[in-house]
Amino acid sequence: MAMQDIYVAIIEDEDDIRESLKIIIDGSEGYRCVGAYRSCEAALKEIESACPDVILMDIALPGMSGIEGVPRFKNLLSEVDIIMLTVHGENDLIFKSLKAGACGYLLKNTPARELLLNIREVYEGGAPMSTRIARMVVASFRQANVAPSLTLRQKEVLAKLIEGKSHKMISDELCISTNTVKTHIKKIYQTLHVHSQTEAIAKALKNNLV
Amino acid sequence: MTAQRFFHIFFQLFIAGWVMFFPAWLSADGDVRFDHISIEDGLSQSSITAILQDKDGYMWFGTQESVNRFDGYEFKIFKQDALSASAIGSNLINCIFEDRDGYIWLGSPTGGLTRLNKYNGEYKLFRRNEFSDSNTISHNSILRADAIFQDKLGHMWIITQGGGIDRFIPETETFSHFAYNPEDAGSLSSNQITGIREDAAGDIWIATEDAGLNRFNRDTGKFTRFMKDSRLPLDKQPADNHIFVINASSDGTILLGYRNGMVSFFDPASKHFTHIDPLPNSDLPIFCIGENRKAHGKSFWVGGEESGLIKISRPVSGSFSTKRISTKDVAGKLYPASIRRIHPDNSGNIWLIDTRNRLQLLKPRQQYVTTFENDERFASEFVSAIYQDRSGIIWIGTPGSGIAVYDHNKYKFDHHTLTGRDGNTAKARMIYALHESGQGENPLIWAGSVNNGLYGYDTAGKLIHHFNRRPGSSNSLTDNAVRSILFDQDNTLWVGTGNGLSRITGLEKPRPVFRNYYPEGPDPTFRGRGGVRSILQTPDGLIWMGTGNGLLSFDPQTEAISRYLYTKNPAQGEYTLTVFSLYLEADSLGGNIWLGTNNGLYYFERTSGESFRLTENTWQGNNWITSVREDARSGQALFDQKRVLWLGTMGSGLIQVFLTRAAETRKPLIHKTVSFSETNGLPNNTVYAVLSDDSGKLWISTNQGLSCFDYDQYRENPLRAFRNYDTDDGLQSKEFNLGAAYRANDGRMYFGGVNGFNSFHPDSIRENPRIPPVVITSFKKFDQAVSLDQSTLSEMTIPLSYRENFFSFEFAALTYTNPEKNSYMYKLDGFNANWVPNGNRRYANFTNVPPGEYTFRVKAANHDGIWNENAVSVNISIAPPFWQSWWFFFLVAAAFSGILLAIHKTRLSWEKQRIREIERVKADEQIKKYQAIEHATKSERQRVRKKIAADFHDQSGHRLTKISLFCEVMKSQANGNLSEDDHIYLDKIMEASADLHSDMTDFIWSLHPDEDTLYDTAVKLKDFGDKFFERTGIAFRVNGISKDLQKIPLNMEVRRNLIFIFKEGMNNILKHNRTHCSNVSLKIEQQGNKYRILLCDDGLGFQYDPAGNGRGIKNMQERAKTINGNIQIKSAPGKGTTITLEHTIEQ
Repeated sequence: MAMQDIYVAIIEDEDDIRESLKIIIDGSEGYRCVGAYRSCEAALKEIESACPDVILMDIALPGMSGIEGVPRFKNLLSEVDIIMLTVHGENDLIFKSLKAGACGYLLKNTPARELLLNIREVYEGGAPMSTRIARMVVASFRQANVAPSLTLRQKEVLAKLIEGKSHKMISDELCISTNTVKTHIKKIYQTLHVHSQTEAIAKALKNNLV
Repeated sequence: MTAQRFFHIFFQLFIAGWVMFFPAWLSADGDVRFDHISIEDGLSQSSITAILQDKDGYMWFGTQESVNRFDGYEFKIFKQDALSASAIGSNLINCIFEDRDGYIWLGSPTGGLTRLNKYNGEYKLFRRNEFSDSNTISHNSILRADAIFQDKLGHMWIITQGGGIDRFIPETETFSHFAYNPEDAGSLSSNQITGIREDAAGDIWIATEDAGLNRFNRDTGKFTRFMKDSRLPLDKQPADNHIFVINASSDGTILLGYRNGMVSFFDPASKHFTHIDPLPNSDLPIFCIGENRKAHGKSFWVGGEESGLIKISRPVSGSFSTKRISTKDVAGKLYPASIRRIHPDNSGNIWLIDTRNRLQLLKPRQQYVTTFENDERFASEFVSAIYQDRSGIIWIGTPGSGIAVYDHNKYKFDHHTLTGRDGNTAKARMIYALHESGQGENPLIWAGSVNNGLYGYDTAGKLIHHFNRRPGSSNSLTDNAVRSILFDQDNTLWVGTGNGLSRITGLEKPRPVFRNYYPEGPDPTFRGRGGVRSILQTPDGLIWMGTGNGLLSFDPQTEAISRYLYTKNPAQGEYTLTVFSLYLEADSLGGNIWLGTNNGLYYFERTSGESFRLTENTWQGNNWITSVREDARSGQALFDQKRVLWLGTMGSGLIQVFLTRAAETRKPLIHKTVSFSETNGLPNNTVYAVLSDDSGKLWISTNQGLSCFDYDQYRENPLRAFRNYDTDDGLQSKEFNLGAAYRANDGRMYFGGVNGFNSFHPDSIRENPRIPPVVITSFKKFDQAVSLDQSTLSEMTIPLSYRENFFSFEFAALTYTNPEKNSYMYKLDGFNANWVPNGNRRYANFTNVPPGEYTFRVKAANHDGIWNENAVSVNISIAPPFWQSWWFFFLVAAAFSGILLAIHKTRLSWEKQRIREIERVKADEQIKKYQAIEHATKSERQRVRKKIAADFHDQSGHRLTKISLFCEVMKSQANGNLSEDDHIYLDKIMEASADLHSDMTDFIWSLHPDEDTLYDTAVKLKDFGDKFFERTGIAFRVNGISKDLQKIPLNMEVRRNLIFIFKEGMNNILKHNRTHCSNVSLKIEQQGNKYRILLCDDGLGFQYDPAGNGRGIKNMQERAKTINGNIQIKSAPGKGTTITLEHTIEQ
């Protein structure tokens, strides 16, 4: 199956890491690095012309943090998928990024193979979710006091994740493939993002009014 | 005489003569005025067939399609729907009758007889058809308006078109039919019944059209016939067998009218007939005969074909005399009318219906009967019914124009509008001056209009004189606006106009002589200030005039003019004194003159010619005095010997002025003034004229009608001092005009306004004494009407439940003269303390009335304020709800005290408990406080620890990442420059760094204070496993993760080691089992105070040696030991591997 190259942009302040990732991506069949920036500010200037499909975004950046940057990039490129890069997988930060609009997360020293596969997975519509993230997602929805517009399937996936079921078990029990599970998860992130947006607006409004 | 002058005179003669041929009239509307009731007022249909007033006072009108009941305000329509709709005209009612029990009987031309209960609308039909039984009416057609009759026994007699007569007995509800039976001499003599009457003895007399008279014998049920019989003496038999009309007089005489023009008076006791031929020259039939009510049996009215109205007088002794009264038609020709109905009213009028169904009227003291042809007062051409109710109102039903009502109680004042020679009334509506002249012989009524001169009428209303201004003619008025009129001592007519004075003599001649006095040159005395507003003549002969610029005196002999209070050469718009009215002081010396002006009250001394204005500090600028009158009792004790004047003002009502005299000068001074205005009852504060009548009452014209002020009544009861009249009483309009008032010597009064003028004699202005009966027309509870039987109202008690305490009454005073001016008062005894005045509203609502016994009373006053103090009343009883009854109350009280006792007891025990609890809580709080402090310190320490570690980790993490990435880069950029071994070592470097990184991450994780239970550890393992076995083709499953695991706390070390052990285990599976393993499962179990974690795979397995054979098993065992756990490894070749860790939960 002929595949289009996936256009990837990297935002990472550690030069060595950034350059290494760039070389790895460019050197791989089916991927192209269209931009490597050391900060959000620098990226924002050129990202539109670069037009990546996927952005690898470091969570901790100087100036505008990765979490702050996510919505900006989503504004400029509405279809872009943003994968957060994290050193040690801090759940809180990951969750914040997901709320902000990211659709996946990776440990920075993920082996290249794994990294590329993850990029392709997200590009094709799937996303990973751990039980811990699942719990945070559900808690966030509950806190927003809004009935999240999740489909029945998505709710089932979330519920089973929270119950501590493995991905394989989820796909067994729901009679769907693991890929479909991943697709559901990505959609759940989108809903999470939407909700966190409305939450933010509501908060902002509240602040203005008060 | 010049030719010019000749022509001039000839021309004037010609005109005068010519105009004389067209008689003009003073229309005296007050004589007969009709009001009309039509469909717009609620009448159901405009062809009236029958009229009746029932015992309660309601008016009933039969129309072509229903029966209407009228209470003065609304029509209630009774339609007989159940009468078969196939019978055309079955709702047409010809005859309405009320029996003694109050039922309304209706007869119709095809629908038979109906008996209606007017209170509940129920009716009973008596109609003969194939379904009815024989006990019903003999024939369904009832045509005559007088077809139903009830005798003294209560039996009903009904004349139908089928012949004969029916008798209905209400007690048994049975019908009997009496008809002519040729074989029975005791049967009715004929089936053609013309009428039935009862005599004083109670005998029933039935007249027939062709066979004489019958007397009914109640005992036998048979008839005795009285027919023409040559064998009998004339006075023992009727004059003719064809009796067209039968009637009874008040003394019991039976009156008969015959086809041959004769009339008989029949004495039922002696069976004696007295025959009279009222018109010897004619033998045309007699249609009606009635008694002249006022004459008490002494005179009768007879009408027939071409008979005219005949009056028969029956003296006590002596012979009868007849008098024939003809009718005068529109053209003035007299002819004898053919009269089919005579109806005298109690004002002395005789109303007639001729055979062509047209209305005619004979007024008292009139020599001939008048018709209403071409008379717009009576708008219909034909008449179908006529009825007089108990108050004297004549109701005239017409076939197509509703009802005309003649109410002599309503219009108290005669209303005159001027019709000039051209027949035009519009020109002469505004009247500004009135006068009556020629007392005694031929009084003339003079009316001055504002734009068409002066009119003079005789008392019959015929125009005798009309003077206006004809330019170029010196024998005409100075102006068309006539402001004042005077007839002086010599019968000279003085006319003050808007532009001068005309002096007219020789009125009796065909051409009266005018002498006109105009303003000379630019002298504005007369001109432009309203002219001559008032005139009087003093005994010395001088004519005094109030003008727009002061007072003028005029000597008729010398024609010398003197001016007083006069502004010489006033500029345009400059103020001048306008004198509206002059009043001659009654004084033995001939009197001085009071002036009512636009600047207040002035007094003019004739001798000195001086005049001065009267005013007083407290008297606030009532500047425009329109009229001045001295009270008849001026100077008497009533007023403390003070003289009293009455002043009319423009805007301040009526003012009573008390005068004294100044000590030396003897000039009049104001002692005090008393004002009467709208607040006292005057209808309007603009008073145009004041006249006093013989009894001392003042008649006042205003912008809101006339008012009669009784000063004596005022002193007794100030609220009833003013009696006000408006257009409903017959006034020309509510608006009158300044100065248009005159009192004649005989007391007759004239007041003029914007629509002609009114004349009346104060003595004949009477209140309508008719006390109106009051009925309650409906009773509603919650808007649901409940029908009431009026006859039993006072004994009735309406029961209501406590929930139905929302009810209302509607009532009406059944008087038909100005019913909208009726006033009502009601009172619910037990609820209202006093009578509640209700104005002219006819309903009373009551809401939220508490349970109890009440009586509702209502009384009414007619339009003149005469109250019917006999209120109508009905009782109401509202039952209390059960919870308001006494037994319920006691029950509740008992229960209540029981509850109180129980509560008290409970409270005592609670109190004790409470005290105990407080103490316990205090102790708990202490403990919690210490625990919190401990916890806080502990978590604080943990956080700090975590932070340090995280920082370190971050840094190291990056470095490790770089190591991996550099290796990747090398591999990716190798391009074949690296050997396989190189790749392997690079992979090893990457793996080692990844492991290190992973360890560090786990270490940081284990420091996390929030991940401190078995649950968190299990979840971490699960997430790790998911990621780890992703894309490996191995199915990873987890069992046993549940919230219960959150109850099992694990400290840092345990967590760390558990993670390590099982990560190692999963690593091993991949390392050694990759291709052969398809399922891995992680299980967590809890048993009592122990828990177990199991990791199973279905891979190759290995030979397990507890001593250790690599695979990090030694490491696992050591770690398990460190945490005091128990690890077991089960494995066999081909059977997979299970690692079980068991650990006791720490407390």
